[in-house]
Amino acid sequence: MRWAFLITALLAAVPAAAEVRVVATTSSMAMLVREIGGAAVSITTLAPPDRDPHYLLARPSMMVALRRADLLVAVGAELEVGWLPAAVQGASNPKILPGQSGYFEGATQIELIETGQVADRSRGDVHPMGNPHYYMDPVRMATVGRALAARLGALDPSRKDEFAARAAAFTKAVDERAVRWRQQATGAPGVVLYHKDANYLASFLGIPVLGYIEPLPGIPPTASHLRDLVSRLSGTKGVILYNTYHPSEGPAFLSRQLGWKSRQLQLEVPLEATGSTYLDHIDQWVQACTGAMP
Amino acid sequence: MPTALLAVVFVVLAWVVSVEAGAARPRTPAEIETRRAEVSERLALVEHELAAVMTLLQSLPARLEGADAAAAGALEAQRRALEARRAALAAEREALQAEQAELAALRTRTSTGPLQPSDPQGLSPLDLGGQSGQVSSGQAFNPSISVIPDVVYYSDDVGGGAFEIVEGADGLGGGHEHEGPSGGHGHGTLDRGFNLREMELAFSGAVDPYFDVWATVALGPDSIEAEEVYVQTRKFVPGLQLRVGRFFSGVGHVNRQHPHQWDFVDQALPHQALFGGTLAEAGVQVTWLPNVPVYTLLGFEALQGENERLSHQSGEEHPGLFEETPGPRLFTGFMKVSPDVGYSHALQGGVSFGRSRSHQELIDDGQGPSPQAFDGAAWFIGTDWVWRYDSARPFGQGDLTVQGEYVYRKKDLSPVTSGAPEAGGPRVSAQDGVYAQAVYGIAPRWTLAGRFDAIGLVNRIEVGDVAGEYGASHRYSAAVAFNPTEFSRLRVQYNAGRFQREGRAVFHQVFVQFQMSLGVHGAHRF
Repeated sequence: MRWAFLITALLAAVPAAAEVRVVATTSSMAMLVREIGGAAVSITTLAPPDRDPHYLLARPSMMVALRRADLLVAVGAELEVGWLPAAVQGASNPKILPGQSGYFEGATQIELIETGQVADRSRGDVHPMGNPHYYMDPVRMATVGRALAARLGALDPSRKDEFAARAAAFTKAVDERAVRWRQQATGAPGVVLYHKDANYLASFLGIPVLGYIEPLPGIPPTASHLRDLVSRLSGTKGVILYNTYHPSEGPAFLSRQLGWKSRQLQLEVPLEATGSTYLDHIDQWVQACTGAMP
Repeated sequence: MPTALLAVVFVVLAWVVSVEAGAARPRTPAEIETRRAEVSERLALVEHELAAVMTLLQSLPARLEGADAAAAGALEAQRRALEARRAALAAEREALQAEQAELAALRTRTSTGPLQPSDPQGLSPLDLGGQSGQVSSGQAFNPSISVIPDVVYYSDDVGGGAFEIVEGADGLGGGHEHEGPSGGHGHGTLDRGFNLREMELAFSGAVDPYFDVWATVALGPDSIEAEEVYVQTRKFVPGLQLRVGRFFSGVGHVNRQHPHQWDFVDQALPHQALFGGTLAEAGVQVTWLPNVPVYTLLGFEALQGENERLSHQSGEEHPGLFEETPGPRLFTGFMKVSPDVGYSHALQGGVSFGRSRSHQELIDDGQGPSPQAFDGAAWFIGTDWVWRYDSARPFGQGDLTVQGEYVYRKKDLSPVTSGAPEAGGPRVSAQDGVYAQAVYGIAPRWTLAGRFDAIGLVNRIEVGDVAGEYGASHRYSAAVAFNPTEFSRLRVQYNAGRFQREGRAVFHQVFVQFQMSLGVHGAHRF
């Protein structure tokens, strides 16, 4: 009798219509899942926004989250190649293996830029399959969002229309602001980036990328490279942008030498970000790119 | 005079430049392909227009018949214009057809795909009539392959004998020094000077939807060893993984790491002394990750039992004395628990256990008249702890890892009566080992590591009712590593050893290590 009671109590503790358990690799992907899935999904984010998603440790707690997940939403294009395969392998959850319905890689839903580079590590930490930082392009993120809505709809068919409607609303919100962002960016002289992580935004805005603080992807700046940048760019106009996880010495040197503004911004949205947080985040970057931000 | 000279130089230069500009630059295959498309497109347009002009011209005689003088004049003018256009178009068509033929003769494809800019232009192979290649994925199904060379410069202050001291610590000498000089294979023994310690060749990939294969082959200066070759299930029961083959046992924390993952050039003493190096065996491993909120991994292994310090079989070397126990002889179990302590920290604790049902030793301790044969059980128990801190600063600066392990091993051997001249009492030995280490990111891309390890804190051998106590041996290590990228590493390490080996033995070691990872290598687990 006591056993029967215990079992009933345990069963009651399990939520009846379980929400879709989603694990997102970065906070940008988590934002998209939250925006499209709403209350119908529960989200765990593996990489906090202040870490470089290229280099992370496959922590055991990642495996716990992946073990329980119905869907893994990754940036893809080998951004997380240093840790995600190990975490997925350690989780031994057949549902979320690549090729299964529980694996969603945003990079496969869109067209990437800078594809076809030579796979040669003497050129630094290159991504021959294309630049993986597409989450800085709101239009591409809207496209990924629509594909994600379809996938969530396949996992929870009763809410299919709800997901599609939310994806459409996000696309509309992006389109509305995209016009203004492009107007704001008209005539902007260009940006110097630390890493190739805002190239999608620059190409979306039509702003030229004038150079990189890193001599090669993933290699810290050298004095000679910075001097080259100064001599190449002196007398021209632009702004310098770098991320919170990048060292500030290189950008500060360049800023002093060229007399340009330099801005340190977070590349990823905060952990609990929604679609509107993301649009404000992009807005902040647009202001910084155009030099409008103090 | 100088003016004339200048003029001559100028003329010559102008000529050179004009020749340079006019010279036919070899076109790239892509340009040829583009031009081909342009030519055929233009040709189609020309032919279309030509057909229209011809139709108009043919209709003119009929229209002339009923026309008056003024209209006839206009028609005549139109006829002349059309004729001129026809001639121009015909000429253009001829030129285009000639160019098309010329372009067709140029090679832009190889048997395996479009010609690349680097492919030779001048070589025009025989026209076989169509392509002779095949549609093939070529090498695209190859596994991930990586090559990890490990070069070490080594020196010590005991005439190169430091490794011998470590191997032969009192009470822990492996129990079979008599079986040949240094046991036949030196566990990471280095010569003074430069050593290619090993070159690791690693292959991995999915066999089919059900299995992954990992293969790591270590090529030494004069040896080839299959370090790990195993099959692992991809999708079995959720949470359950099955591994079959030869693999590094999951007991403890560092045991399953390959030398290129170590934080020091050499392995910690407990593993060197109690397992004779990494515990690697052929067998089967099952791990289970239950679906609970706290990371809990349970593992069980049934291993063949060929480890010389745990389940050595002497039957082949001394067929009359020993009888081989069939495998699997070594069974292990382990558990790891890791609570979630946020994004910046990771903590993991583990316990492991292993038992060998047969361990055989031929011991010549100078007490009996001849070497005595022993057989019995051996078991070990261990615990491992790791705490890692990720500082979020660039290039690993401020990251800290602290870890430690303790292993206790006991061998419970009895004399083998058959064939032995006179049997003594049982031989029971209990030994342990411990290490603690920390690695700190002192600067971007630079790490500083310190380690303390000791063996024989418990070091007791009882033969019959005679108990022998031996002393403990200690070692202190410090290492500085520079990691230009995650694929390369330069490390300098210093060791100071205070060992018990027939009295007190002190040594100092210096290592300089160059380690590179070339190719595609799978991500490492925690």
